[in-house]
Amino acid sequence: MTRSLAQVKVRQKPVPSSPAAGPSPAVLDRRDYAQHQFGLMLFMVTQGIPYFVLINMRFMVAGAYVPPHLDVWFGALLPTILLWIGAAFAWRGALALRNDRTRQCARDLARTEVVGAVGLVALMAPFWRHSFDPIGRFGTVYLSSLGVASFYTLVALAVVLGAAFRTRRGLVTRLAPWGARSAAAVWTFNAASWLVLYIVFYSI
Amino acid sequence: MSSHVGNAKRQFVTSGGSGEAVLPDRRMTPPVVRGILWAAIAFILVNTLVSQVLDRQAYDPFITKVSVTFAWTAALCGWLLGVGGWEMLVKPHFGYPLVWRTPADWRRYFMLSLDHKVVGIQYLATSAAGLFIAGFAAMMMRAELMQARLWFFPNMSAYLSAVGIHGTIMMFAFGTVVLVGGFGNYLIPLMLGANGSAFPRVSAISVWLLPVGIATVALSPLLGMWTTGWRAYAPLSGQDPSGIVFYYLGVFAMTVSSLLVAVNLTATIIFKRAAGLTWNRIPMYAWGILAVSLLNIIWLPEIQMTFILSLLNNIVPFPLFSQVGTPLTYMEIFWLFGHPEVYIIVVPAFAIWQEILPVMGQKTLFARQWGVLGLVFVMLFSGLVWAHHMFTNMRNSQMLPFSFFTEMISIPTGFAYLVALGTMWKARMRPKAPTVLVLMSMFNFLIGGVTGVLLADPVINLQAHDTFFIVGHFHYTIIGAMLFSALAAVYYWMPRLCGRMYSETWANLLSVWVFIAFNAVFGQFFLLGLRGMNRWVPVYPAYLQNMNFEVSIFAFLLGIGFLLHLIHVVWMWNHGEPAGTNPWQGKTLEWHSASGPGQTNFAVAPIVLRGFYNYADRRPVLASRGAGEREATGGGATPGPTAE
Repeated sequence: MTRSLAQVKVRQKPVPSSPAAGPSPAVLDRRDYAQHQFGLMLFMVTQGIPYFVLINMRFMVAGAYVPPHLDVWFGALLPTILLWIGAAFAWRGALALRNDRTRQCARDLARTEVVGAVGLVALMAPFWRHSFDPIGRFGTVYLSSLGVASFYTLVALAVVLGAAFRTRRGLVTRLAPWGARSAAAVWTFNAASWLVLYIVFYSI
Repeated sequence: MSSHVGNAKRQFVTSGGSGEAVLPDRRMTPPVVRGILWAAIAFILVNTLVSQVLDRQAYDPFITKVSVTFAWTAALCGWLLGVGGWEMLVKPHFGYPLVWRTPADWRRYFMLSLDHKVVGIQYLATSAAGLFIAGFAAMMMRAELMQARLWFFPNMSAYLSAVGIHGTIMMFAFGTVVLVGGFGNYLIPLMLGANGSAFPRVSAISVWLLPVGIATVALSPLLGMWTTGWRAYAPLSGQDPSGIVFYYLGVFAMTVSSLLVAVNLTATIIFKRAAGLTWNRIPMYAWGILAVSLLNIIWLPEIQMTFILSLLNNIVPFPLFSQVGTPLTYMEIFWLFGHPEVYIIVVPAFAIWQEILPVMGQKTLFARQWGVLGLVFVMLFSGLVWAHHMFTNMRNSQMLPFSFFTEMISIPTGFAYLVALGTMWKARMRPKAPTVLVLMSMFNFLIGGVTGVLLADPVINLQAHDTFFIVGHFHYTIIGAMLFSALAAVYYWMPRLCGRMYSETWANLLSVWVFIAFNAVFGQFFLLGLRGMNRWVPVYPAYLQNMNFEVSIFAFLLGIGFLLHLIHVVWMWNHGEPAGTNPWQGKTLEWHSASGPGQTNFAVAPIVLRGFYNYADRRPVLASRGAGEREATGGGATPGPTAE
């Protein structure tokens, strides 16, 4: 069967570069780009579900209770702001590729890293310093949520760091922007997820 | 002989089937060895650091719940990096070239691979290992139950740990995996006319999480017994010794594996279909895998988060599901996943019936659209029935909707049945092992389904709750249906997997063996349950001993039967008669490519002209792209009576 088809010209993927030649930018055609987008979106949907469980747990075990002396900055507003600033940098970097400004992209991704690292510390601060009962109704779910958000922030930092490295090595370009855009999307997902948790724990 | 049987065994390929960069190295040690080494080093280092420096506890134990959690996480990272994640994932992520040696011999199965066929076989072998480990635990349980007193295990907790290990590995490493991670990874790209899956690196890493999960759960008694079974009910799990920590960690590894498979196969089915392979034409097995992948995508992260919260109960420790929340909170979020899990296991089995029967009867698949609808609606309804596991904890008014939907789900399930029955109607079914095993699977599921409708009725459910009647019911439903379908799939696709044919005599003989043994065991479970035999107890009333003794004998025969199947398959894999490229005259695309592991599936992208299940239509199903009206052959099907 396969033999009978062998003479026909078809669209074929390029043969992967040989190791000796070094890596080259991964230029995706429209279908491959859509496939990558879909895969990333699907993965984000799966990773949104743990947040959904945590939100349900918050209301199931603690109702709408918010401790009166809850810190409004650490583990709260400060990481929210920093994560979104990081998202803005990440997207600015990704969009800079449209004008072929790869160095700008790498710089913005690096800024995202710095802001995000500070955000991670601000997110994790309540593990050591808090004004609520850590094994109470609110404390258990809140600290669990902080742990989950911190883990995903760590993952997002690793993703953006990789994109920054690849950009510096010339593997993320105007024609191959997926690395930067996907990193920005992952970062935004993380920032949005934490924003929802922040609203759930502080405002509702 | 299939073309890949005769390959030179010691060759090193220059291009993997999915495009991995390769270098020859004849002295290469399989990376699994490096993975074990890195995992061991990481475990010892991190455990020492946590237990001796960062979190020293009274009496200075070397292993604590906290230290073992961090150490296991580090060991997992070491393992994944060691088996190839360092070269294939981490270094390319930071912009270094992907350099990966792929020998064209047995060693390719002991490393990360971008070839979906290699990954499929890795999954099949690992989940088969899981089956036999879980089966061994079952044999120990049955040995214990041969007498009404505690005699085989040293204490009740040891018995319950065996029950937990059996259930956990069967559910998360075999039931959820073999037909999806195994056959799904191997066959779906082939069935779609693609040369690889959508995300081969995701696929490559996912398979290596499975052995970690199996080993972690199987070794959990080293940390202490656990009494919760596969459900890990909290707060009971919080009262157990440290073994339960390994349960959570092991299940986490196995469910991440299945989740990655689900994402990869969903994207593959949507984006990698050959030209002309419209939604109306994609194979039934692809529909089944798509339905089950969507279930996995929704429910696996849900149970992962639940188990992480329970793990925190053990290692922080938090008082979740006891002082904070209630035990019912845990039960609700567990069974939200727990019942869809049943359909995660059994939906691919339905698809296999519908894949095999038309080919073995060379007759058009009856009411194909209704078969697809059945798969999809089973998937949708599966999230609406979960609370029937908790009727003992509910008010009557709460039971009724769940009772209703539990009975309702038998309707789309019935579609799968009717499609299979309609296809066999007046067909000249070839009495080959795949046919026989599909019929056995259908019989088993029928028994499980009928008793399921009974159990949907709260009156019966409350009486039979936590008895062996329930154990019989769910073994018929998921194991009887899935395991016999998996065996059917092994024999049906064996010519495609290895190019060789099994022994028909032995396959049929052994199939009858396990069918009789299976029914002798689990059929009597119903009677045992009705006579008062409870689950979760190694000590029971003496009047039940004779029947339990006899059930155990059949259980041992069942275990031996599966072992003989394994020996037969392994032997025939190497020594069977060459099968030819399409011994069953199937039309689906996997029979249109003779590629083996490491080889390109389709040198030329196929174009699909028509569906695969109309055996009255003798025209070819494939055309060559750009070849004008020239058409390739269509599977050599012999026409049978039409039904469509």
